[in-house]
Amino acid sequence: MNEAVRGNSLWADARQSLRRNRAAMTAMAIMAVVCALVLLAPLLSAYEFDSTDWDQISEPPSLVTGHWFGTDDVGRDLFVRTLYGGRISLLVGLAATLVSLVIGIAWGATAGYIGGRTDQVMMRTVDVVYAMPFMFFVILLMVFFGRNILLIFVAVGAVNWLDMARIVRGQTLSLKKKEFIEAARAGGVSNFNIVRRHIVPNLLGVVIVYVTLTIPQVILVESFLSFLGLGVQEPMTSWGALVNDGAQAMESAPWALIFPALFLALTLFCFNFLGDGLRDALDPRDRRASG
Amino acid sequence: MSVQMAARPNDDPLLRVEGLSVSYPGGQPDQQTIHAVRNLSFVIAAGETLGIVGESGSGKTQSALSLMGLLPETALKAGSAIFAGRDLLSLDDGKLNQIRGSAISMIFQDPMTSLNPHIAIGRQMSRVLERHQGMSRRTALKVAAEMLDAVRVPDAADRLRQYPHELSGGMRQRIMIATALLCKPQLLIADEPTTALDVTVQAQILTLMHDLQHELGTAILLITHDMGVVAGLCDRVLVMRDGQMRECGSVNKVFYESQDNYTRELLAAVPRLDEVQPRRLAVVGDSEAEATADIDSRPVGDTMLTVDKLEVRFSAGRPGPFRPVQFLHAVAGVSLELGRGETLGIVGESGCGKSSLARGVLQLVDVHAGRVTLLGEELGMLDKQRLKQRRRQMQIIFQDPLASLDPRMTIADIVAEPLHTFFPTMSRTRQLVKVKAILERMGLEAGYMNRYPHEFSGGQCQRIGIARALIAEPELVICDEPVSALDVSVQAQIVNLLMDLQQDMGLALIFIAHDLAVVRHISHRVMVMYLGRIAEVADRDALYNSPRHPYTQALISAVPIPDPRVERNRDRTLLAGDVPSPLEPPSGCAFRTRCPLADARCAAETPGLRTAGESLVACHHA
Amino acid sequence: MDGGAARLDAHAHTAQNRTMLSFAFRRFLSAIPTLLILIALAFALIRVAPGGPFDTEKQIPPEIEARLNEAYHLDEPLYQQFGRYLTGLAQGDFGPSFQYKDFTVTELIAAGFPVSLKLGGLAMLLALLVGISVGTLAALRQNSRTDHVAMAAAMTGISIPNFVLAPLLVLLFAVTLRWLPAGGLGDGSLINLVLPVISLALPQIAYIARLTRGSMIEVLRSDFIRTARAQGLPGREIILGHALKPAMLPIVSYLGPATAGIITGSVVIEQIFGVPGLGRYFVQGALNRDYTLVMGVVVFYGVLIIMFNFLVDLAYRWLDPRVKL
Ligand code: SF4
Repeated sequence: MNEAVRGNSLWADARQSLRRNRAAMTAMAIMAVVCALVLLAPLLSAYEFDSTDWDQISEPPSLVTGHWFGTDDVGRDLFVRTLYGGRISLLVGLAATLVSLVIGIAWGATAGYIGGRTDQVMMRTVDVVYAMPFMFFVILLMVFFGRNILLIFVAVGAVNWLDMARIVRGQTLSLKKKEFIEAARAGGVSNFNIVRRHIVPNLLGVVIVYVTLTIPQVILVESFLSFLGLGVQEPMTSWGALVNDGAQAMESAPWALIFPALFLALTLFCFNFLGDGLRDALDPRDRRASG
Repeated sequence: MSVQMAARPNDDPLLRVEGLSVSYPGGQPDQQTIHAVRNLSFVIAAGETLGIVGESGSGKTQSALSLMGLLPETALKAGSAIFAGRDLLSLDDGKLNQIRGSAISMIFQDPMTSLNPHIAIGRQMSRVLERHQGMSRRTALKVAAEMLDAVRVPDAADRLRQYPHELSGGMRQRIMIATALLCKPQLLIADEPTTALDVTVQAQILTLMHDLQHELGTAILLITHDMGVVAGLCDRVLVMRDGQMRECGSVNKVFYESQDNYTRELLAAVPRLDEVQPRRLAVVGDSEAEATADIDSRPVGDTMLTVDKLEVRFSAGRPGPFRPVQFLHAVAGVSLELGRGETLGIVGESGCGKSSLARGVLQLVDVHAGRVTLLGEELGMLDKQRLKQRRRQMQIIFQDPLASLDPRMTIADIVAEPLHTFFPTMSRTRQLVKVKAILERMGLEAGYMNRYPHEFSGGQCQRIGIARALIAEPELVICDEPVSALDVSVQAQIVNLLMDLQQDMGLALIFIAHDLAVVRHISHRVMVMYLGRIAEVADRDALYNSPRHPYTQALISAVPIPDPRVERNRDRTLLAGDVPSPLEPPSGCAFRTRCPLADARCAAETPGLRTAGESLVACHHA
Repeated sequence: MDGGAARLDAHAHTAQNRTMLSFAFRRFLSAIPTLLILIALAFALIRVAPGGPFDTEKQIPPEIEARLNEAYHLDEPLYQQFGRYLTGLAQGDFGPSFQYKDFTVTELIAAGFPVSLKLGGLAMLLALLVGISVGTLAALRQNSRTDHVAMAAAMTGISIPNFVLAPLLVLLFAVTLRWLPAGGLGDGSLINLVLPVISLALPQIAYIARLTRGSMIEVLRSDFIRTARAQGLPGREIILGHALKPAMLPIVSYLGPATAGIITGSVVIEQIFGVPGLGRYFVQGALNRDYTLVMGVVVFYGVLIIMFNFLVDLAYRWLDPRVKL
């Protein structure tokens, strides 16, 4: 068989238009740097995240001492703490997003594909949960069961799945009406294979965009809790907890607020920009308009 | 106002367009400039109708939009368009706004999206008058009501308070026209004004436009792809292709003595309703005109599909604790038979249930009542496994070629999917050999196999869809509006291909379309549906030459024929109104609200199918 | 459409009003189970929490604890407690506070809510005003410098959490420039609320601006706007008369989540600025294990959000003539 021409899949097209999006590419580059820093944290500084340097309490940033971001009020190096805090924040972001992803896709795709009564009941449930003041519940949980990082994952993930479920369901419903799904049904393809071969790959674009936009939301929630003093436990820390500490000392030691705040905002900023860029790249609507 | 009053020497044309070009520079370095319109020149005299015809991408709409200053900001315009002493192309928005909607107005293809769904009709109309004629809202509303009367909208005053979604498509287009005529423009630009409408409604609108033009003396620039519409309405025609003018002249000259190859080919590619002798449709760009093949001589084999009193219904709206479930009876008891090698055409306007019938036959929707028997087996009684096996024998081709292909799969995967399903043991190599063979049979290069659907044109996508339907060698293929999304020239190719394939493979075809001419072309027998029921079934020639049912008669007389002399001398039976909502079909005969022969019996009794002449007809008075 | 259909249309308006009422009724009924679930959830959550309200550092003698439990009906079976709570709620009684012994929860809510309402209401107003104007402006000048700057600012607004922003604003305007007070309600004048309101509103402004821009661009692309332009209507009239209403529909649906967001945000903002509102009571109550207070606040805010969503739904149906009731 002679070699056939390679086609340009929609993925390839999306990659191309993403590459053209300068904001998104910059965001990606910055995110890569932040991730690298966070991962390599122990190698980058001579200090431990929980070791106290009694001679260097609330020191401003200095290249000489090696406390590049200064120290906090008990003399811990803020550079290392910021990076370690980033580990927690990013980890929570990823893990909780994963939780919401799994629940949301399963729930939304089931409701959308089966439709009818099942759909109504399932989506009604989502509506009800949606109406709950969930932040208050999360705060309660934190207060009553102690600050448990696992609990944060579960609590945040269990709430964010609602949006995911709605989006996936909507998308599934509209896909189901597409003629290529009908063609597959007319061609005797089983339900399972229709979902596997046709629905899931076509959902992927939306899901990727949404995941990118969920991660910063989750990070935000975690830092919100940490800010209230309900997040991770000392001596571990997260960006939110650091911002909280920094805010209390901001008049005497502004660096303790500024560096963690900068990392937090920058990361959220990048995720949001990337999400926007991905949405533009993967949005099938514009593709057809230009044709 | 001042514009309208401006003195104009009598021998000057109303609008003189010279060297009009529209182009879109590529936004990225690797994108090329698109030349939508190139060096187009034409004139329109006061009170005349000029038709611009062309296929998609010919630049006909772009030229119209450029006259109105409605092009996107990225468009570059060149040339001039002199109207009442001013160059429309170089006026700024402020100056243009004195002319738009007043001296020149425009109506668009889709009356649903072209009217603002959030604003009452009256307000949308009165704004125009308040703006251009400085009327108070009260007076404006009164004038608007009068104009609605003039475009034969019943109960005009009530309409003003309604919103577009409360009205039918035909009514909306009348309102668009009324709004456009409010300031008595000298020129009306109509961009595919009837393309989104059913054929009987199209006939109403075209007649209306014709009458209004005589009453008001408005010049019309009619943009369309439909040669029949041009033949009926236009004084002169301009044929466009790829942004350039191919030919321009009086209707008779272009239709009967065309000097241009493309125009002639285009005309030859259009199937005609009044053609006595069917033929292969000519294919544009294929200079060796193919021999006329007679499709009638084909023998029709024994019955392979029987449909008995099929009913398909959908629940409409969500049932609630305070609301009973409402049902939409899409198909209300349809029976038919189909023999091997036979083509049954099904025609009808929107909402007649033709697509639901197809899906009911294929068991793609729940069948509420009735039986479908394929090759001696009743499909409704089969278990899942057996039904899946039967699906190999019955396939479907869809209307929207691109939407019917999974955008994330390669062509090879798409076409091979039925092989996967029905011959799970077949090796990948063997599958690819078959895919390659069928693609070549469809006139596609096998080298396309690894490409994705969005890289193909509509016609090519439709060929891929046909390849997928045929690869597992089915015996029954249902084509649901397979050519209505395609341009005339491509439509001819696909129709020819389907006819050839049928002959080669001995397929039984059900060909669903709203275009009566295409159906006449391809079918042996034709069935006319109205609101979920059969109105008439007959052999092709019997049905077209001596239709018995009043609806069939009206339908046939509503189809424009691309032949000016014929088209202008026909007697038309115009139907009143639109198709009623299938949610609340009329009692008795569903057609009675629009039927010229309707009487008390029609409202009381639902007519059954009976023999009349060579037809089976559902009418008390046929 | 023949005579019969036209007569049907004449009744369309009264019919529409009736369907609107019946929709409101149905929608209201469906809010009731949501409310019950909310209350039950809050109730259950607090009962399963380890540690009672009287677990303090010093040991309370068992008899006294029993007496306390009895006084607060903590010795009854759960369902009875729940029933008692529900009956109380129906009468606007959230029960006594465990910590502020002299107050009922209702009194505490009555004291804290007006402050929170003022703060939240002002923030919402500001968010809508600024968000919609900025978003519309950006949409009208799509891809211009104004647009890019506005959208970059909006993105920043979304990305900087308000608990980061609030201290920074304090640092700048209160500590360094000394233009505005840093916290508390002071003499109760509005100037004390400037910083809290801005901190609370900024993320919402950013979100609403982005939403407005997106929906406005979408609407401006639609066919009916092209029709309006072809009718020679000037730009201002097209925006105000044709585009604004449909473009505002997504904003209306966002009002529900926005309210929830502002309520949640007020928890930290009140904390940072020392505003004695409901959010602060909640945090204090949670840390003190003041069951009834915490539950009261959760239920109160929950009801508020559910009611608000109900109103938003009604408004949406009313605004969009296409929605089938
Ligand atoms: S039955 Fe009556 S209404 Fe129906 S088509 Fe015949 S004449 Fe017309």
